[in-house]
This record gives sequence, C-alpha cells and structure tokens, in this order.
Amino acid sequence: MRRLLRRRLLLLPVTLLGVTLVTFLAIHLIPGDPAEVLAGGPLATPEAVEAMRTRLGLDRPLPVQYLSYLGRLLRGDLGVSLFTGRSVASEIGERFPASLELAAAALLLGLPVGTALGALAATRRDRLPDHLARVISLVGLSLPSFWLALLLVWLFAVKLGRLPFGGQLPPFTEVPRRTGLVVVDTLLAGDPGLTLEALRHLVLPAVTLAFVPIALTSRYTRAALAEELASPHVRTARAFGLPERVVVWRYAARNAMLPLVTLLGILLPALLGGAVLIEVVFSWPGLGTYLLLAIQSRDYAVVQAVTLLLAVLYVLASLLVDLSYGLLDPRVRERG
Amino acid sequence: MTVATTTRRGTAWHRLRRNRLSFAGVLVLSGVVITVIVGPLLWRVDPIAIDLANRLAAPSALHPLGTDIQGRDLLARILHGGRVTLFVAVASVVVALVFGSGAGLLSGFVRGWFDTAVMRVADVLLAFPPLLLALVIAAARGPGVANTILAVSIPALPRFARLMRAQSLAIREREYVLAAWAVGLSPLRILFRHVLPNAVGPVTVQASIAAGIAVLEVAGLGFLGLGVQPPSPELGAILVDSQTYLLQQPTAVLAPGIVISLSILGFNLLGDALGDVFDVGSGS
Repeated sequence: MRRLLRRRLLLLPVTLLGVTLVTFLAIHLIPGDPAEVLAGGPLATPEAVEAMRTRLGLDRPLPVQYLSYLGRLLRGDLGVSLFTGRSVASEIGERFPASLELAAAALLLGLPVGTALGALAATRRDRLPDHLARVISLVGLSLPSFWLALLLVWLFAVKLGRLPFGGQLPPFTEVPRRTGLVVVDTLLAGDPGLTLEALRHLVLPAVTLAFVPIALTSRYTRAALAEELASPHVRTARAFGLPERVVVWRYAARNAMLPLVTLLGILLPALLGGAVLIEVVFSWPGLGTYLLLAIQSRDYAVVQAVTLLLAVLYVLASLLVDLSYGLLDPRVRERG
Repeated sequence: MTVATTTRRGTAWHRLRRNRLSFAGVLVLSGVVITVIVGPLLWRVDPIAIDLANRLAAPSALHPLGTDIQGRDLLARILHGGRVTLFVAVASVVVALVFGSGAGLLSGFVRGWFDTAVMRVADVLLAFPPLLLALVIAAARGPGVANTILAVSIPALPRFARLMRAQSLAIREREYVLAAWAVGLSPLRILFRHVLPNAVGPVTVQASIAAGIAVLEVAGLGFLGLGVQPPSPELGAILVDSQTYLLQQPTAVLAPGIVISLSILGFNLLGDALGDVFDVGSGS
C-alpha cells in the first residue's frame, strides 16, 4: 500500500502538469488567430491585432508563455474574462455552488435508489426484481440526458403543469446570497415558501442527472452483493441458521459496501460531464452553462479555466477514491 | 489449432444465443444500422427540401412522422440524420481503436521510455471527463464532421491504449511468443502475427462500449451546436431545433431521441454480449 500510495502521489504532479499543458495548448490549437478574433474579427486593423497580441502576451515564445501561465495559476490567478472583464476565479465562485447543488441533489437521489434497486436484484436473482433492475439500469445508461430532460419537461412542466423549469427560482425572485446553494440560502432567509419553490425548480434537473448514478449504483450493488452472498462466510452464517435478513445486512452488505467507494469515483465524471448538457436544457446557472456561453462568445480564458478546474477536481477525486479504497480494504492495505 | 478455434467459436455463438438480453441487443443494433443504411434508399425524400406551405404538418401517408418547422419531411431527416450520427460515432471509434490500440500494443511490446511516454499521455487524457474533453476540442477546432470525429475519438484513445498495453504485456511473456523469438522471427512478425491476434478479444468489447459513448457524445455535440452542422441532418442537431416546437410537433423530439437511445442500448448490450463471449471482466 505504501508503495502504491507513493507512486500515485509522485505521479500526481506529472499528471497535473500535463493537464495544464493541454489547457494551455488548447488555445494554440484554435484555427486562426485568437488575437484577430478578439480584436474584432477580419475587420480589425493590423495595429489593433498587434496590440491585442501584445496584451495577451501571444508575441512571446511558447515556452515563456507557458511558464508565465503556470506562474499565474500557482498564484491562483485564473485570468480575466475577455467578455465581462471580470476575474474568472470570482465568476467561477459565483457559478460553482449551482453545479454543486445539482450534483449533490442527483447523488442524494441516485445513491439510495440505486443501492436499493441493486440490493433487491441481488437478493432475488433471476426473478422479476432482478430483471426489472437490469432493464432500468440499461435504459438509464442508454437514454441521452438532454433528451430525457426534454421528455421530463414536456411531461411534468408542460402537459401536467406540475413543475416549473428553467433557472433555480421563479422569475424576478431573489434570495440573499450566503452559501450560494439556493435551497440553503432560502432556508437561511427564513422563507419556507421560497425554499419549496427552489426545491420544485431542482426536481426535474436533479432527476434527469440522477439517471446515470441510479443505473451505475444498482449494477455495482448487485454485482458486489451477489458475490458476497456466494462467499464462504455467508454460507457459514446461513449454516448457523441465522435469519436471511441478518445474513444479508450484517454479513454480506458490509463487505459489499467497498466497491461503492470506487463507484463514487466513476460517478463524479458522469455528474460533471453530463451536467453540462442538462444545465443547458434547464438554464441552470452553473459551470456547464458558463462553459457553453464562454465557448459561444470565444471567451478563451474562461474555457481554459473551467476545463482546468473540472479536470483537477476529477484527478483529485479519483486519487482520493484509490487511497480510501486502499485504507478501507485490509487486503489491499497489506499487499505491496 | 483450427479445431480449437472452431470449438471456441461454437461455444461463443452458443453463449450469445443463451443470453436472451444480449441477443436482443444484437437484434436492436442490427435493426437500427440496417434502417439507417437501407432506409434512405427506400424512402427517397429529400431531408433538406424546405416546404414552407407544409410547416409542422401532422403525420400522414405523405409524411409518416410529419414535417418540421420548415416543412422538411421528418422521416427522411431522421433516417439521414441517424446515418450521419452513427457514421460519425463509428468513425471516431475506429480512429480511437487504431491509434489507441496501436500505441498500447507497441507500448507493451517495446516497453522502456516509449511505454512511459504513452502511459503519461494516457494519464493526462484520462484526467478530463470525456464529454468535457470532446466539448473543448470541438470548441477549439470548430464544428463539422471531421472535427467531431477528432473531438469524440481523442477522449476514447487512452482507454484503448491501456487495455491493449495490458494485453500486450501479458502475451509477450507467453511460451509461444518466446518460441517465436527463439526461432528467430522478426519482431514485426511476432507483433502482428502472434501478439496482436491474441489481444483482439477485450478490445472488441471496449470498442462496442466506446461506440455507445460516441453516439451519446456526437449527438450531445450536435445538440450544443458544436457538432455536425446544418443543413446536414444530425440527430442531436435535429433535437435542439425541434425542442422549440415540442408542443406542435412532438414526433420531432420523440423520434430522434428514440433512434439515439436504441443505438446506445444496442451497443451497450453488444458490449455485454461480447464480454460474455470473451470472458472479460467476469472475474472482477
């Protein structure tokens, strides 16, 4: 375990450096000249393009540009939005809580439902609940999230008129910003009616985003629990005549929890990547819509920063998952 | 050797038949593929011919799925669009498969600094959530068929490389490879005749799973306006257009989504089926 840990930790800076190189080079892969685009397109005068190039530092050699990019990153400077002229770090700070709220809601919904479905399937193998769980997880993994979002909007918002969609709160309502998580902020503001509205706005995007976690969690739970139920210690427990409920929950489920940790590492990219499309459909003011707006307005600094942030989060999360897996499982801990 | 192969194929077919769900998956996928290949040949209506007099026409014999907001026949658009989406997705998997597995195969075979370099690049590519990486590449390169193929194939590269490397590392230690070295065969011949054919199984499983993800990403990029561009129909692009008149013409939203979902479902089930056949991942 120590060796594995040391290796992972040693490779971390290499990977992170590679990630910054990719986000840095992404700008230089863009066809055409970013300086020209930013100076106003083909109509820009050569002087204006040149001035923009100097302003952006694009006239310096690439390695120098890269080093100064790294230097700025180390100081926590993510650059300035070319569109709004504001610091990208503070704009991300405003957007991040909305994405976090959506992802958390999808996890809070997906993990219990998925676990229950998987446990039901594992304890009733090859019977109706098992087949049902398999079909649900297959369908959950096959429906494109943005289509699912459209269907849910059509059904619940338009046909039935039961749920609102678009944004986090009804139009023209605001809540004093404390945590940035709208549901929490409405609670802190002491306005239960508004909390209810915030929750109602959260339902459709969260359910859409929860489909993949439900599908993956139920698959993992079923596989892990089925394996445990077939193991010698469970057979022994059964031989002692313990009730099935005790066998399943006290003997099998405990060990089957382990793969769920790895699962979190798999779910994170699904939530981060899938959320972009869902945020766009629901006009959710998170990082996804921010990224897409930046792409459309050619705001390179923002695209660079958001991509970097998501990649770094992703790398750190998978490292944590690997490490915690090692710490939780004595078999992995002892080995190597 | 021939006998052994036949028996193995025999059991493989048997296993595929035994698992009804996998079999259904193969049927669904072939159904979608045949429909988008043959469909446009039978239903010879121009998918981009605008007919403003017939905007949002209800489904009829003339337009079985109705028309869109510009009076274009929806059935033709979905048949052609399905063709485009599937073609771009499969093409990007082929690109990722060839370059990714190629790098992985060499990496495991020659090892040394080349191996280290390939694996570090793979680590970096794996550091990005796949859809995000595709999105950023598509944004940087601009829309269009070729760029979409590039954007969707790059996130898939490292998975093929890692898988093939593991296969290659394991196979190079086998006796028949050592024997091939011993009788003095050239490294290229050993690589292509002895290592590669024995490493193919798990890669086909990965290819099928990757194809499902690719369909999702191609349609997703089209939906965000960063993929294949109009007037060329593409399922994701049709969806983003039709969501604005969802109420007047629900088939314009339902049909493309159903085709996308069935393709992804088919690829996922095929992946499961191939996994059973090649006995991949059953141990874990």
